Amino acid sequence: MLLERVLVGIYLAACIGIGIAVSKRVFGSGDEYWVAGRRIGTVVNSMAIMAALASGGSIIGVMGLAYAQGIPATLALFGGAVVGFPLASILVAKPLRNFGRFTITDFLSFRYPHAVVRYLVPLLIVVAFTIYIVAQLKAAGITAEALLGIPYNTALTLATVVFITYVSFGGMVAITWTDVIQGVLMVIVVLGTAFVLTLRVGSPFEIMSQATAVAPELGQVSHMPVSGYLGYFIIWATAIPVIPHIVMRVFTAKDADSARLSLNLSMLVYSVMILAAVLAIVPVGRIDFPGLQDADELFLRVMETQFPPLIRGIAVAAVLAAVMSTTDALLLACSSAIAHDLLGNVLRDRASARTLSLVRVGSAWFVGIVALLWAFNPPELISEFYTAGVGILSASLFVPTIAGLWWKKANLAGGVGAVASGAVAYVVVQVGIIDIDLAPVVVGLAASAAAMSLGGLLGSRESPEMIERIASLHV
Amino acid sequence: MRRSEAATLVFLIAFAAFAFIPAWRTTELWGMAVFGWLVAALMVLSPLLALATFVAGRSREPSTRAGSVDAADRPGGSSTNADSEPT
Repeated sequence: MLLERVLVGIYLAACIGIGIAVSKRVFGSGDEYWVAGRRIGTVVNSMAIMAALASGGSIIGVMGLAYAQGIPATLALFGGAVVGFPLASILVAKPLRNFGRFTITDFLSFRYPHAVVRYLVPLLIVVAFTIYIVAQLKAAGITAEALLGIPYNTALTLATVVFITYVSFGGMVAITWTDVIQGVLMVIVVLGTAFVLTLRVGSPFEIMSQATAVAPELGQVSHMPVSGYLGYFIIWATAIPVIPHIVMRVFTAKDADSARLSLNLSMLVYSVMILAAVLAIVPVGRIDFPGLQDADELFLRVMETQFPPLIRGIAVAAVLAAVMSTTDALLLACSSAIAHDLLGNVLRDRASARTLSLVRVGSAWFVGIVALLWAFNPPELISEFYTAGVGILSASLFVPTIAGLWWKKANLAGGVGAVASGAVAYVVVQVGIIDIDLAPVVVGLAASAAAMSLGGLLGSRESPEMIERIASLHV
Repeated sequence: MRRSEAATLVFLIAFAAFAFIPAWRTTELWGMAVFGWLVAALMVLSPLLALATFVAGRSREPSTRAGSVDAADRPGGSSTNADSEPT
């Protein structure tokens, strides 16, 4: 395992090196730290968006989910994300980029200036993204344990310290550079593995026929109620346009056109990668490993048995890359929710630039350490776990964001009601306080839309200045 | 919103709704429910259609093309935006 460990060591050292190298440039400026000076070009941003979305869940989790709940359920979940990109590209990329601030909370609290929005939205982001980070850390831990022989908790701690270091000191610039490297690495590994397996076994159709002959449940829609499939799809389709770590990428683009094109290109690469994983690697793994205790280990088992040590080392680095490229973006989004959205208004006029920088770094370390402690006892099926976390953001942020940009009658009452009712309805159904045969996100979105409609129709009209300002974002 | 963009969104949502028709859950092709194949097709179609819509829209509006893929295609490249806000 020495070769694999050396390769991973080089990779981790490179990530820290990038963070330290850019830290001088970004440390004193919020614009540089949060959105990389808004000058990221299209190709780089595309790969960074893809890497930010394609997490440990998209390599380890996607295959684990397909193994445990069947390929159709997995495609419903990840297909939702792919449909979410056109929604983001067409509905939010241009106006949000033209808005020109840092976070989704900036937009929502401008559009609906109320304490509920200003404080509830960042709190929801911190909770949902901490859950998301825990899922990513589990992927890193089980990968290092299975392929490098490093104990789970040690691997977890090491990976966490590395990504907190380069995020907290290098901000969005470091994240962008590391994400590009990480994105390229994971695309090569997943597509390369799928290609090799396809050459050995046959076309995806043949692979699928063989696998479902052994395990018919792999291709069936029978693992959960239909509302579950629909819920998976809708959560991600509505999350992509509003999910903070993707929205921050829109703000980093150098112009609105570049933001839109970046989203389109990243979606293309992401789709190909997910389909290769689900339609080629999972069926082969299902044939070779019929009784896995932890489904999330499928990819690692395939790599272990099908490839030599050098390739395995690169595969471990790719999984860590997938984990870290998402976790770093989540951590920055969480950190911005605390340091910029929650504390920014209080500190901006009172604190020095150095104090603000220390708050940014401190908030990144705080979130990272909380997630690390939680990840020592992680949940099962990481894709399912973090999708539930993301659902609350979809339910509470999608309607007010889209209505705030596109509906002239959207007003303060509607916006506040939409954020609060979406979040409350989602939680009530998700935790089972009300037992209803509908996906929690569907109930949350319906409640949010109802509140927005009622507020818009019954509440006072928005000022002409606000309507004019929003209209100018579409130009 | 341009008409072509609206049409793209409507088509994708309609395709997704079509994929969720109950009959596709029990009918199988190559061992997998047709529902799964339809969502897989959607995952290919969606990015291609969105990209085509974007490119077609830009070709109709040459004035909005300013610097999409150029030397600033890197973090730390030249800035083309003046709306920076220091915290």
